[in-house]
Amino acid sequence: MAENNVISISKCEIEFLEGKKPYSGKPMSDRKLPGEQTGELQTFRVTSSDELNLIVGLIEWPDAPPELVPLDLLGGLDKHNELARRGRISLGITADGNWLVPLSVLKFNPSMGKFTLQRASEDEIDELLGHSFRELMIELGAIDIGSRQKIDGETNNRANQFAMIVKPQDIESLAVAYVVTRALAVIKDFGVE
Amino acid sequence: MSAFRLPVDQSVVDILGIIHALEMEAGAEFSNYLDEAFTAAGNPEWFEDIRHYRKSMNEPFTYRNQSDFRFILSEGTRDDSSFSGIMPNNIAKWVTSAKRLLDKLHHFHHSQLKPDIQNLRIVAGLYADVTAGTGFDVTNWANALFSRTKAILDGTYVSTDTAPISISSIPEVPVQIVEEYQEAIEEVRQRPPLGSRWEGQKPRRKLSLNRQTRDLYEDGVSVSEELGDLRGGVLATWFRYFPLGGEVWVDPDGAAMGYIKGDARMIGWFGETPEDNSDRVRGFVLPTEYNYENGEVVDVESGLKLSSNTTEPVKDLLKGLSTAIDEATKLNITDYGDIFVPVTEGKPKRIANAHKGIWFKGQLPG
Repeated sequence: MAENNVISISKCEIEFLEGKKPYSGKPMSDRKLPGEQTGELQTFRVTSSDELNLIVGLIEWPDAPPELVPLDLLGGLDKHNELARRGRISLGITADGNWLVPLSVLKFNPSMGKFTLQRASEDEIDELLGHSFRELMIELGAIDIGSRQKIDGETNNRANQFAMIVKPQDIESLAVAYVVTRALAVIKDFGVE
Repeated sequence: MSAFRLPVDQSVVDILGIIHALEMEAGAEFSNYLDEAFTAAGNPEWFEDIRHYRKSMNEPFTYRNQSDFRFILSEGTRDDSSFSGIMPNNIAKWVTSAKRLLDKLHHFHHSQLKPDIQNLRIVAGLYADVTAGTGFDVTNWANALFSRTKAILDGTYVSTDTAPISISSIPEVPVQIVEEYQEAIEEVRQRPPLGSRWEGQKPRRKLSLNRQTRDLYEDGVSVSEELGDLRGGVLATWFRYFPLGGEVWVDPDGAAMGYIKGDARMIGWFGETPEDNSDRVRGFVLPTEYNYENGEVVDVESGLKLSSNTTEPVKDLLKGLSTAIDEATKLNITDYGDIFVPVTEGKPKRIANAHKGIWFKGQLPG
């Protein structure tokens, strides 16, 4: 699927930018603690037919779970500002060392007048993509997909949350998950009546 | 008395004219007084005598007439001054103020005294000091000028009349001084000192300086490799003046601008800094004076030492100065960070360059 480091997903293209570099900042989980960590950053660019041009990074922190972070909104429509302001994905580490990706979705919240991260069903995600998200992710190399209880044995209040497990540093799967649950959701006005 | 003009605003030409007229007036009044005093003592050729004496001592002497106020200040502040016991005033701080005023006049004649109200106030204060007790008209003028400039700076002065308060019209400031100043001002406007306000158009090339990755991007792609060996130094400079990073606009010659709290500021160069290796002194001289003593730069007014009043280590700068100048040397610095030893002859030469991180906090722009 990836040709010349580019993947097409519905109305979006993902371009993987070469190289890794140090990134200093605060992980989501430590954002209230003093001091910064220096992680390792890989980036990809998300562009769309409606002028979105967004740089997103996968940051591996030395002392915190990895994260997908929108870094630089280089172009787009007003509504794309939602992607610059929110939509970070904080990954989990499973018992066997793989990465767990929570699949919440940016959805318009009418009472707040903005996009917020909300739970979504597999059907809703399929609708955003235009075909089976599960099939696409398995084809890309995802290890498992389903509820957190089913794929990771969680029994807490997040047990029913839709998620997937990927191999560590599988940036292609991570980028596609980001695009479907964040970029496409905003582009397709998910939740707007 | 030829003029008694006071400024009503920040007009550069007015400020230049007033500084020039003050110098002329003070020179004429002191010169007349000295001429009478020396003539009465039987030495009407006093100026020629002093010139011969200084030449015989192998000292530079380029003054062409006795009413050149820089000559009077220079001669009056020497240990073996020929004016000893003759000067119309003999106040304790005369020599200190006269030396400072002489420096200001040298900076003025080299287009390095920033023509603003702040400097006019400093100059007026020094004239008031060196003419105190003489009974000369220029003393009243200097005192009035000091009060007016202070009122303008305090924001308490309200112009009620655009006509100058003058006994006669202000002498025209020489065209050469105005032209040289216009050139100096234009140079600063085109490419201001780092950290200063950017005056030109916003450049077209847009880059993004990222604090987290300490890298520079164009359309999301790192472009810092274009800088080659200069990469580290360039990024360090940009982050010094633009610590949070963000969007940066770069002109074709490499001059880079970023917005800090809504103000466009010069933050560095994409590539080599022009004239980095030149000895030309750029910009306007800061009003603060410094001495180099015991391997340290000391702020004369506050007595602070450089090595304990900077945000970055100054070891290299002090080492460089130690090889370039002798102990007990007076130093000046411009808003471009060009450090030089003030000279009485010719143009001063840059001996080192400092940025705001290795100079007294808050003195350089940015």
